[in-house]
Amino acid sequence: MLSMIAFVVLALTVLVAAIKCVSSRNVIHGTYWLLLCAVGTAGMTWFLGAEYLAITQLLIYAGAVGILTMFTVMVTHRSHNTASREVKLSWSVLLLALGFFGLVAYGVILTPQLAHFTTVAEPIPFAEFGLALFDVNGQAFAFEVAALVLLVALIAAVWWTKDNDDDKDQEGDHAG
Amino acid sequence: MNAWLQAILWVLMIIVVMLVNGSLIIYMLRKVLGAAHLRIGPQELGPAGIFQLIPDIIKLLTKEDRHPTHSDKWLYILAPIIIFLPILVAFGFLPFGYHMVAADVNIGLLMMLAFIALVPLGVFAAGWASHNKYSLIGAVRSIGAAITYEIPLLLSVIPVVIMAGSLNLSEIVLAQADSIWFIIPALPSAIIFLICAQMETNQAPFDMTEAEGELVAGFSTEYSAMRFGFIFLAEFAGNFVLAGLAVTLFLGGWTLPGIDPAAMGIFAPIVFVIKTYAVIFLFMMLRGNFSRFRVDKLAQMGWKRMIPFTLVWIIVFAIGFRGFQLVQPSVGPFLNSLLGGG
Repeated sequence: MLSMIAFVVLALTVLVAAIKCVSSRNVIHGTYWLLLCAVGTAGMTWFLGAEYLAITQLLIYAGAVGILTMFTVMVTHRSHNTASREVKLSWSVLLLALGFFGLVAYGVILTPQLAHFTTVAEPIPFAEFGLALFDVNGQAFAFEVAALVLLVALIAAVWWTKDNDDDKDQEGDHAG
Repeated sequence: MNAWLQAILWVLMIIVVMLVNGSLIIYMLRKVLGAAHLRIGPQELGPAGIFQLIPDIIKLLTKEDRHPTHSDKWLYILAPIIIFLPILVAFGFLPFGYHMVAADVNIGLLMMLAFIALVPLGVFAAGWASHNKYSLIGAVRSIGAAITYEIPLLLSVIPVVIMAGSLNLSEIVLAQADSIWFIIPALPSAIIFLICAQMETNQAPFDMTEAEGELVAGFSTEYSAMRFGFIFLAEFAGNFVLAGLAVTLFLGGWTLPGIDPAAMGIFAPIVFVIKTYAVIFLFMMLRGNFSRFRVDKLAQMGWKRMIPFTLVWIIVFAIGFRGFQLVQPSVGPFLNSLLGGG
């Protein structure tokens, strides 16, 4: 019963926040609604017993993505007057979103295990979880290799775009 | 119902600890900074000025609660709460003693860092909503600083997790009671953690978000009365939380070397609090002895020095630790006899 109440409250929070996020004219308000949406989703995954996922959601989506969005605002819109955007209702996009929602909902209903989701998985010890993450035959391993390749690409990109002459000039300026 | 009562009691206790801690730190800060600047600090009210806090609180409570014109009303009201709540939650994961922790979850360290990471969003909200150019600059700086220190902060705790084999803060403490304080094998991590904690709590030399003298009071310029009190309290609580986390991760938490953790009993929280205040003292000495960094220098230090260094250090540490594990069966008994058993 309690988990049902929690689910309803969180689901309403997420829905309202998601709608406000796309409909709010103020970019900063939109960002904070997005954060609320992420926190609500983290709460839902928490109640489903996926604690690690919930906290990753909080750390990555509420913490890191939130800060990155603010960072974007910081380097683009700096005053209150320019930090607003036009909100136009686009019927085609709405139709697309509703269609996608219908598809996902249909998939959920078709899958019997998901529709009758009552049991919560037992939490496993963290060391076991870590070993599973680095299991060479496991499913997570491919993603980790991909992430590593992306990291290397990122560092290489920074290295390539670094202009050495500029750096020297700047240092000269500071010294002078 | 018992569980509910227990939860409410824990929350009340955390709030009491926060309030007492706030009043202690403010007195300590004035005296320590005073000594660092060769001043006396508060001295008029009570012996050595210990009652100075009371008129300060009365002033905060009775001041007019004003809203700046054109401020973003809801965000302005919500911002101190967004700053305050994550710190309040983060308190719940600090182990004060054997089973003396409000929320003993097996990913406590990660949760604590996740909640601490939400604080800059509140700071940004405060600065943005105030409709004041100094506040806005402070807010923007807080995001710039957050983007710099979050990554090294997260990376700096990884050697501790490798050694303890757990993200549960209680288990990390017990792992140190079994071996040695983690500051000894992971000193570079402890130093990076200390620097990042100083940035996280917006303290000099990294207090660009407030920067009195440049930005009036930065993001909190337009806040007055109890709203300012909330921001203030959250800042001091943040001090305590990060110092407590440093103690838990690197300085053995509530345990003492050579004493059985189960026998600590009622002394555990006392030991923990004393250690935490020692770390807070270190924070304050750093605050009093270093001048403020420039914003771009901070970003350069974070991205060009601390992140590459922590990444390399993790690899070096992991290889070293694995090597130690492999040779330990042959060397371990010898070391133990050297240290006199244990």
